[in-house]
Parts: sequence; structure tokens; C-alpha cells
Amino acid sequence: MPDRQSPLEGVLPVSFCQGTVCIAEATPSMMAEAQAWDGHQAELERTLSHWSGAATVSSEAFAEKGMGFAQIGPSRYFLWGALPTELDMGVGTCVDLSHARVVLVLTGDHVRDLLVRAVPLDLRDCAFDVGHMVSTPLHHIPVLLARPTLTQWVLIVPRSYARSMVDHLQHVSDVFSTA
Amino acid sequence: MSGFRLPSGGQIDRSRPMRMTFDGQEVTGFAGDTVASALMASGRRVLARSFKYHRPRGLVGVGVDEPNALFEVVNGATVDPNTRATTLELCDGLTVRSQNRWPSLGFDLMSLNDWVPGIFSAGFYYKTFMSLPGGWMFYERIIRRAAGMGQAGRLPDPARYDRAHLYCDVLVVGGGPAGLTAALKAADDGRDVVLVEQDMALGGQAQSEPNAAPWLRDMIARIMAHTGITVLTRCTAAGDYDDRTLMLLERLSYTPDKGLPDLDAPQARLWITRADQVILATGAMERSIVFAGNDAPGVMLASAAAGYIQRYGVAPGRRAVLFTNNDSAYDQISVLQSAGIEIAAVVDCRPVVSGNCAEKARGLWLRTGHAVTQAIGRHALQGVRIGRISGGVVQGPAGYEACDICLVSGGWTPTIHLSSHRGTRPAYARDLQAFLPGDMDPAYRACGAVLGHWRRQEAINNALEMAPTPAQSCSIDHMPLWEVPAAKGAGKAFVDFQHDVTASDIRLAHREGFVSVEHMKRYTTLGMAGDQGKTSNLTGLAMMSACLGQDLPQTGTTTFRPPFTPVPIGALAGPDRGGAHTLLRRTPFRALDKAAGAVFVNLGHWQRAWYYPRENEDIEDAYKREARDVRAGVGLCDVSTLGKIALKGPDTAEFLNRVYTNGWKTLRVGYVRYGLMLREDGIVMDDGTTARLGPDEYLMTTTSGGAGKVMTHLEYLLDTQWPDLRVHVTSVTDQWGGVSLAGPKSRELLQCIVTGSALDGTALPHMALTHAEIADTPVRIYRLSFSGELAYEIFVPAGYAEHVYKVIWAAGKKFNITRYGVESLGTMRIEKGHVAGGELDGRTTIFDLGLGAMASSKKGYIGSVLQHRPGLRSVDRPTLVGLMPVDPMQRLTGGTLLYSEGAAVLGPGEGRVSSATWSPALNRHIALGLLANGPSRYGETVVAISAVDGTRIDVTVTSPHFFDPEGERQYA
Repeated sequence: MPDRQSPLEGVLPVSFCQGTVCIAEATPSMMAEAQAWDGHQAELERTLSHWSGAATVSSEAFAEKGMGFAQIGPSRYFLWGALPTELDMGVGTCVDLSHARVVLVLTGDHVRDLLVRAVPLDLRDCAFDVGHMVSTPLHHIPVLLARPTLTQWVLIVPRSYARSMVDHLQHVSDVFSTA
Repeated sequence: MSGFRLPSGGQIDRSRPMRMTFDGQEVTGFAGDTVASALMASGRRVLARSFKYHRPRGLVGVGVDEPNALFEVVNGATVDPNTRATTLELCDGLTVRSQNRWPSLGFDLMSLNDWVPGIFSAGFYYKTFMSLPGGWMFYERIIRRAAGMGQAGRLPDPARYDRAHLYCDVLVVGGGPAGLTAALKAADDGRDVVLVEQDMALGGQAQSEPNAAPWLRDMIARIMAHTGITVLTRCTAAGDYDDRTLMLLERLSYTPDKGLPDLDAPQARLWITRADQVILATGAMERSIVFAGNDAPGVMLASAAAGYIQRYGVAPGRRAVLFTNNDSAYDQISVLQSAGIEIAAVVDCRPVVSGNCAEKARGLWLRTGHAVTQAIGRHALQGVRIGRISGGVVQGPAGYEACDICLVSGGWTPTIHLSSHRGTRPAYARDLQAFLPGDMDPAYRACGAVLGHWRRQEAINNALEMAPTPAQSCSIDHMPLWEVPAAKGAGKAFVDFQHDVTASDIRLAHREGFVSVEHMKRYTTLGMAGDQGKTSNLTGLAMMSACLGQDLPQTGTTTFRPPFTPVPIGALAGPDRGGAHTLLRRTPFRALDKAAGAVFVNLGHWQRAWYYPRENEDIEDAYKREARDVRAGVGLCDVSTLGKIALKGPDTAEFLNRVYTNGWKTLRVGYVRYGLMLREDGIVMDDGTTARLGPDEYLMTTTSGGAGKVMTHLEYLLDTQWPDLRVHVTSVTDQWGGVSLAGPKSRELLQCIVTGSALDGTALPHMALTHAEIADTPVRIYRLSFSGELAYEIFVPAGYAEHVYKVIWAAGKKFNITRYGVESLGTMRIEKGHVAGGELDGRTTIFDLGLGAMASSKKGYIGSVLQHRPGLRSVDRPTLVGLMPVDPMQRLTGGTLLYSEGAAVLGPGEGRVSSATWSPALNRHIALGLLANGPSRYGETVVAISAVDGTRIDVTVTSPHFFDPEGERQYA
């Protein structure tokens, strides 16, 4: 098997806003989407909890264990770290998206200032604490935003948009950082 | 006369002089001045020309209510029109110019409009210019040149704009006494507070009060020191929308500190704000009284005069007449006197005033029961006529009083615009003679002057209440007086200065039958556009009520619409302009395509390889060569952009049966089927193939542009129509890179590199798929063809896509492999007669496309009923045909209309050309089209006529399958 290639090769890591925002790419890992059939949501959640060892998305699950899941829609979950092996097809199903997404890790003092310009979310600590993950549009494109640690934010973006999104974030930061 | 700078006072920084240019002349002022205060200090009276009559106009207000002094701000090649001089801060190097005048502000030839009686009355466009047959077409251009205020720049706005989302527990709009108090109270309660104030400084009207400074200093210090309050000054709450979403516009340039806009830095910032609670402390604006000549430069609001003195250290004149109907004007007397302004008279329409007022006016000529009946002076106020008034009627002859400023106070109008934006109907408070915010959403509160608590302490007390209530009675004694009747020949009396709407216009509208205030407003243009009736709406409404003989609330209210003050369109777009307007999608092969010299084209969000020019080739040469090479050998095309949707679950076949027109329950694992899906109205929505990868696992492909639409459609159906079906759909477009390998040598090439699967026609027949490996990389190989050639689509996980592409390319060299782009792909599909975007244009049915055989009669599916509507089954409907120009070298273009030979060239014709190309295989131009009763007209010659340039081309109607109609090549 060849090495997996990133659409951001040669682009990341990158820092801007006078070094107060840094974007890097996380090492690729397994990502998937799982769906519970009607009436089987609780069963699927139990399976996923058992598989990941986490009740829900948490800093430990994401940053340390590298496994976790988060609900992203009605009976729908986003999984990362590995594919659950014991999923009963009578409960739901799972689709591999490992190559479909790119994981961007944002660090630095002004990350939140940048993100409030990119996503329409309340990112105050009281509303978006460590361990949160949400599905949200970024420039009209659906992405997942997570906050695995106090100082780190993660964007999981569609692979085909990854380069444009990094360019967009840089463009947005160019505007506000000169204010 | 003229205003002049006072030797001391004001909140300006006299150690920081600033210079600007106004109409080419240098004007100096200080940091903290506005353009208006600097111009007033320079002694200028006429700052603008009015909208219709081009009458000389001066300053009326001191803030956002200023209707007259609108300027064009010039910055390099850009022009920002209609900027209020009263809110534009003076900064070094600023260049502004007056607008709506020709040739100059002092001598405006367009002021002839003022001398032509009657022409420019309400509805003059309709009466004067549209009544003549064809007249409007003649006059329109002239009127358009003459009308309007400032001229918008014709160049793209080079400014940058920032845009951000802001959340808070409490948003307080307005930094006056009530707003400051409410913000501090909420923050002390532990709430996260954002306080917005449109002015450069906090304080609101308190900034103009002589005794408020100590209180204000203390409050501001407490606010600024509070960690729970974010203060945004120079920030206007321009609009209020659903769910407590407010649009705030923060000005970031044109300040004494930042100076002129730096093109690298944002000029303004748009905050999209969502708050748990909104407190409207928007205050109130003083209103004027209508009398003849009330627009003369020098007639201004009494509170504005005090504002210029207190805030900017500028006196607006030397000798004043104070004209009022209420107590608040008396508060300004000491301010005026402190500035050395001689008060010639205090004219009060009330027969008796309180002892307190009389005390404030001690030593002055107090004329109770009188009114200013006329202002004298065109370019500058010379004096006023003062007459006795009783019962709203002027009694006896009027006397004359010389003055250079007439300061008017007609009472106060709460600034209820924001509550009105959300559709809250204002409530009329008879005692206050004003509209207050009506029943608002529980998450909204108002406090202070906007609730009729005019006095500072009242406003503060009100803001401290748990649930602030409107004022029950008016703390400022007043007597309603909206208009002083003008003597015949006294001149125009203006209600709306910005739109030159006079008292006569309103009465005329009434005489002509306009009884609804909304109709009157539109007919007369009262309170429209950028001004939104700040100083005029209530007065206009009161006058309409008088005409109708009704109470004011019976007549109705008007609706204030966002934005409160103008917002640059660029600020709405934020940083998403030019190349940043749309995010582009890149396929996994983009870097390789770029290295190969591909020219890219943006199709939807995708950036796709259009063609691959070789030396000296243009697009024509390149795509023809690419198509020829594919048909002669083998070619490689990036098809990663195809929409790819994974469908999993035990009910997937049933689901496909319901969304596609053809049957799916018989599709075997390892096979692919072409499908068409319809909209509910029976029109074709999209087409593509779906492969059965496993017993309960399918992969659907859609057109590149239709992927999002199809995905939404499928999710909608599963979520709302058939939640019982156990089917999971998710887009995997980004998961897989895909290439099409097409041409007679494609199989031979693949056999050199593929392991794990046989590829011969028996093992992998047309419309079958296999799982295999290329250079140790797992791939899915579909045998299907869009080009009409023996062809394969190879899908590979996106992270390995480049690797596989390189292997195919390297192996293909001995077969003279070529890359081909979307242009040649389009050419080959037209040669083959495959439908695509030009034919799937939202107007065609499955029968129009000649694919009726795919419409199953054994099952129902989305669109199966409505596709049989009579109108969709008519034999006259345009149906898919091939079109060949009689002269093979004549080029057809998409959109050209088709007519029978000799038929009248009228309307949409009998059909249209949907896709056209030069065919390298046939060595001629060809096209696909949709022609009425098409299949029965093969061999007939019709005429293709371009509706754009009138070009006529004779074309022969043929089968749409131009090339290899039997499919021998693709089935090889």
C-alpha cells in the first residue's frame, strides 16, 4: 500500500496573524459515519460507547485515545480512530470516510478570533467548552468543529475543499489582523 | 454669519489640529470634531442642495438624524456617497464634496426646479412625465441623470470589510444614560454584556447637558473597567432580525487616530450578533415644527445647537430665536448663553409656560402663545416672522425678528426603529404624542427615552427597574404643534428635508385620495430610503391625521425598515469577495493535471481540467486532438467530480426502486445500472449510475453539478416520506478519486497493471464492476462508458489516487495515452448522443429525452404520476434529436431556436439546440437539440436562428446517436 497523500502537502503547517494562529494537519486516521435504524439509536450508542470507551466526544477520547464519536444528526454519528468491528447490521450501518475528510488542528492565541469569522457559532467558553464537537457550515460548506483541549481547535473538513478552506481562513485572518 | 469656534469647551482635542478638504477648499478643525462641526466652525452655512428643488440647505441635526448634510467622501478613485457630515469624524487628509448640485454648491443651476410652480409636487413623475404617450421613455434618461443624491463610484469598492459573529447574554443598544445604566446593571448581575453606541463617544444626549459631565465620567469609567462589558463605539445596530439576531456595523476608519482608510485594513466590521436578551436604549430624537421657509440654513433643532456647543465647542450662530412647544427647549437657554449667543426671543406656542421655564427665560423676550410663521433668507437665515397663534391658527399680522439661527424644538420622538424591524407594531402614547415600542418579544426590553422617559434621571431610574415600563405621563410639558399654517406666498414648508416633501405634498396626497399612510408615504416619498423618516415620519403622519380628521393612531403607523443607517454592500459581503466569494473544490489529481499543463475551468464549485494544450494549441486544437486520440487509442480523464453517494441498508433496493424510474430489485451484486430520477412534478432531475457492491451496499453516482441536489432529495425522502426504510445515505464524493480510461486500447492497458481480477469481456462485461488492485492499491473498476468507447471508470481511495494515476499514466505511455479534459469529454458524449446538463435543464421529461423505455409501468416512483400530465405527454413537446448543419462547417451554438422552414420566426420556436460541438469523428459540426415531435422528423431540414445575433443556419434533423449507434465499440 502506498503512503496516503494529503491534499495539503506542502501547504501545512502554516501560521498567520503574526504567528498567533497556526494550522497543522493531524495524522490521518480512520473516520466514518454511522447511522442507527429507526428505533435503534440507543443500541447504536451503546455499541459506540463500548467501542470507543467514551460516553460522548471528549478531550481524552479525541486527543489522547484518538478514538471517539459525536452525534451529527438524527441517529447519525461521526466516528474517528477506528471502525467499530462489532456493529450489528440490524442496529445500523457504518460508512468509511477516512479519505473523505481532512483534520485541521488550529492553535494559537487568536484562533477563536479567526473562528468567529468563519463559523456562525457561539464559541465562548460557556457555550463551547473543551470536549464539544458540532457540525456547522464554514463558508456554506459543512464541517465538524471540535475543541479537544483548551487551546486547540479541530476542523474536520471535506477533502476536496481542504485547500480552499485553508486559503479562506488565511484570507479572513489577513483582514481582521490588520484592523 | 455663521458659526464660530468657541475659545474653550467641547470634547475636542485642541492640541491636535486636523485638516480636510471640502469642495476643494481646506477646512481645519480638531481631533474629536465631526465634518459638520468643523464646517460650522469655519462659518459655512450652505452645505448641501436639496433633493428635488436644489434649495440651499444647512445643518439641522447633530447626529444620525441629520437630513441635509450628506456628502461624497472621496478616497483616491473611490467615492462613498450620502455620508452624513454629522457622523463622519474629521481626520487629517479627508476629502469630502457636496453632492446633487451643478455646477457648484453656491450656484446650482438645478435650483431652477424651485421656481417652477407645481411641477415637482407629490407624484410628479406620474403626472408630468408618464401621462404623455411614450413620454416616460423620452424623459427617463434625463430624469435619471438629474435625480438622486450622491453618485456611487463606478469602480469596484477597493475597501476591505471584516465580518464576525458575536454572542452575548445581553446586548444593550444605545450608550446614553439608560443604556449605560442597563449595561452596568446586567454586568453586575453576572451577565456577559455587549454595549453598542453609534457615536464615537458614550453618553448620548447627556453629552450635551451642561450638568451631566461628572455623572457621565463616573459611569463611563465604571463601564470601561467592568470585565463583563464589551463596549463597541462607532457601532450602529443597523438591523434587527429573527431570533434576536442583530446586524451591527462598526466603523474602523475615518477616525482621528486611524485616519483615512488603509486599503490593507478593514474599513468596517459587520457583527452578526445573537443575544439572549436585547435591551433597546435607543433614546429619542428631537423633532422639528413645520413652518414656511423652515429649511433655510440656520434653522436647526434646539438640542443640536446645544450639542455643537457642548461637544465640539462650536457656536452655530450669534443671534438666536428659540421656537418651541415644550419645556425641553428651555434647558438649552443656559447653554446658548454660555456660548455668547444672544437670544433674541423665546417663542412658545403655549399660552402659558411653567414658572420653571419662565425662570430659565428670565430677562429674555418670551413670546408665549406665539409661533414662528416664516423663516426669511435663502442662503442664510436673516430673520423670522413671529405671529400670535391660537387653536392652530395664526392670528393677526406677524412681527419680524432678525436672527441668524432659529432653534426649533417640536418635542421628542422615541427611536423605535429596531423594534419596528421585527414587525412589532408601535403603540401610541397620547400623553407623550409619540409612538413607543409595542408588545415586544419577552427577550426584548426597552428603557429610557425610547419609553418616553425624557429626563436623564427618569431614564436612569427606568433602566434600573426589573421590567422597565413606559412613561405614564409626559415629564416635559408640551402642547401639540406640528405645523404653523403658512400665509399665502410665504413659501414652502418642509416636512421631510431629505426628500423635499412639503406640507402641501401631504395635503395634495390627501386630496387625491390617499388615505392609507403607507400609500401616502410612497406617493410623497416621505421618510423613505436612507433617512427612514427619522425627523419626518411622525410629523407627516400627524398632518395626514389632521387632513383625515382622525386621531393620529387611527391613521396608522409607518414601518421602519432596516438598515437604520446605510450599510455598505461590501460590508454585507465581508471578506467573501472576488476570488474568495466561493470556495473551490479540487480533485485529488489537480496537482498532476496542473503539472501536465491543464487549463482549468470552474464548473459549479469544482475546478476541473478543461483541456491540456500542447505547444501552440488553443482550446479548439486541443480538445479535437484529445477526442481523436481517445477514439484511436486510449485516454485518461479525471471524473472524481461525479457525485458519489453511498447507500447502505437492507431496504436500499426498495428505496432505489422508488427514486429511480427503472427497476432495481433485479440488479445483481457486481453490476451497475443507469438510472434517471424525476422530480415530483415529473421533470427529469438527474441521471447517473448505481452499482451494487454488496447485498445491502450500493454506490450511486450523480452528475457533478447535481450531487448536492440529489443528496438533499434522498435525505429528505428518507427523513420525511419513508423513515421506515432502513437505508443510510452519505456523500462519499470526497472519499474516492476517479478516472475514466477510455478508448479501444483501454482494456489492454489496464491488463498490464491490474491484479486480482480478470478484465476480459466475459469476466467484466459492459455495466459490471470488479474489485482489484493497481500497484498494491485497492481499486474499484466499473466498465461503463460516457464517451461511447470501450471504457472503464476506476475509483480509488482519494489518498492513494495520485499514486494510481501515475501508475496508469506510466503504463499508458507505450499505448500513446493522452489526457483529456471536460471539453473533449463533452464532445464525445454529444457524438454518442448521451444527455447531460444541456438536456437535463429542468424542463425535460423522460419521454422528451427518448428514454421512455426506462419509465417502469410496474411500480410507482417519484414523479411517476405527474409525468403523465397531458401537457407533459403532448406529441408537440420538444424531443431529443440530432442536428447536423447542412453546411458541415457551420457552427451551431447552444440556445439557438429551431423553426420549420418558412415558418414565422416568432416566440420560442419549435425547439432549441441544447448542446453543440465540432465532431472530430464525423469531421463536421453537430448538435443535440429538442424539437417538437422530433423523432418523426428525421431527415427534415429546419432552421436554427440565434435570438442573440439573428444568425440562420439550415440543419438536418437526425438521430441523436451520431457515432457508433449500435454500440459496437463500447460493448467490445
